[in-house]
Amino acid sequence: MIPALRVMLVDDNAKRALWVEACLHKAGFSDVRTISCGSRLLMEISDWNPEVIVIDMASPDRDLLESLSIVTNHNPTPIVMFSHDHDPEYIEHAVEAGVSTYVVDGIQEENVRPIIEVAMLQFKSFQQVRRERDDARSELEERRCIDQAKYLIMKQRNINEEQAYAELRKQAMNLNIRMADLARSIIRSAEEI
Amino acid sequence: MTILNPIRVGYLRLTDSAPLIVAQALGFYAEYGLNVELVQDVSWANVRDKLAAGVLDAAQMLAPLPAMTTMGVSGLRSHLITGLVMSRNGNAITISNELFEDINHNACERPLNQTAARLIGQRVQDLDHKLTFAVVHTFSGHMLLLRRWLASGGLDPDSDVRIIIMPPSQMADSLSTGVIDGFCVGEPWSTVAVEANQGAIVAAGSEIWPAAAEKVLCVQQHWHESNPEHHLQLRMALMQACRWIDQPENHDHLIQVLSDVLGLSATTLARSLSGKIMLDHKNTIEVQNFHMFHGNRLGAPDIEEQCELISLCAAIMGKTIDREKTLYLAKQTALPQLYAQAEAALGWQ
Repeated sequence: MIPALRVMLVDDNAKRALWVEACLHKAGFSDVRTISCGSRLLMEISDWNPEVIVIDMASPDRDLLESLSIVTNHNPTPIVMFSHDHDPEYIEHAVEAGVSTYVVDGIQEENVRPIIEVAMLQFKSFQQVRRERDDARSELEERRCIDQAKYLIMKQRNINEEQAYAELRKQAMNLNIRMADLARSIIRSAEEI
Repeated sequence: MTILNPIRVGYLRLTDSAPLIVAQALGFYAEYGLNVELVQDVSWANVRDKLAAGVLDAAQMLAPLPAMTTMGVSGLRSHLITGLVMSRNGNAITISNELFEDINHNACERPLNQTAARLIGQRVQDLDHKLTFAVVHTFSGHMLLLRRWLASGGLDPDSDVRIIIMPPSQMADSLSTGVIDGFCVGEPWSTVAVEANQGAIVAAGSEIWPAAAEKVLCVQQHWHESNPEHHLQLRMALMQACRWIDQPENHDHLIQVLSDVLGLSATTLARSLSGKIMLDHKNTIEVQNFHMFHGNRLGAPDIEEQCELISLCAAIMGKTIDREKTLYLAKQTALPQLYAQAEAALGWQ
């Protein structure tokens, strides 16, 4: 027996919405609500608390949905986005980022169920990854550490920026660790001194 | 001349998309041998994702978004940069006719922004519901303007009102049906609401925050590194377009071009572009610098300004970022040296 999942469908095109809704029903999702207007969308989401949201990428309501994940006290919801753009690279990149699942060419009847299940799983693992990543490091933070370590090496050895960078890279390779990790330990030891 | 793959540039349907559109219509891109394809989109989230995924090479972007996307707090994380502020100001705050009548506001009274906010601030205790305002994106100049304006009237933007996100095209209708009580948005969407008698403009962005960075030309750092020449040519073409827009003799031509490309009425577009703002059906006032596209190096990204945007956006999320980190992020995302490079190449210095 399929557990009833609250699915919210956001589509301004009434005809297409009917069809997608029918697809969702056939795929076993009995608890579907269709919303066409952005101003109601927000209230419906907070009243009904959907477990997954399905939206057309061509809908201007995307910025609204995004705001929900920015607001700190809101429990973010996985979003399945269908797009009519044929651009595999884009889809791949977006899915990698875990923000949403993009479905090319609209929704195919037989694919509905796996798509939504994959979206939920991906969303869960993304939330996990994101939490871990945000705790420890960001790309920018790492660049900052590398820059800082580079300047320390420049000062210590009286060499130029390029040489300092090369030195940092060489050491990291010799030690078989990431440059950012090496940079952090260089900064730490400098602070201890 | 070699035929290049088109450079795909994203934008939204707004009056201040003018530089991107003018550079195409007047042949400024072509002057530098650029083959540019303009791609209209419906949401900032789409534009940002497509830019981060490389589907777009460059895009018009809300001023705080390059830094916010680089931090990864809004959807995709990607290192985005800007070397050109394409426009400053261009926004307005509009409230519902009902609220406008309720506060009994004399539209022409100055300073207009503080007066309306103050009147709403006085009125808010007597209302039985919380007022709801809308902006187009969490990290937008509109959000920052609205918060500053509310605060000027003694209102706490976090607790005294609700601020929601809504696409600009839905704002006017939501105002007249009472879903929202006001909004802050880029032109022409306030004018559209006033023309349809769905609301009244109570403040222009320039009255709240003079010369605020609004739309920037945004690319991925990675794209900039691989295509420094194209990026430079793009900035040069757009800076020429900004100067062209600023010349009064081009006004009619500008409005015609925008009206054709954006599918908006010339009368509607002409109001904000001429600075003659129709506040309601009785009053039109002249607002200085309603839109700013050129002059006094206003196109140069400013590190301190970027720091301020980052701090204010962090405050929206209830966070504070220390000065060192803010400065680092600002310097990674706003690059005045790229503006200076284009300026020198144009012989403007």
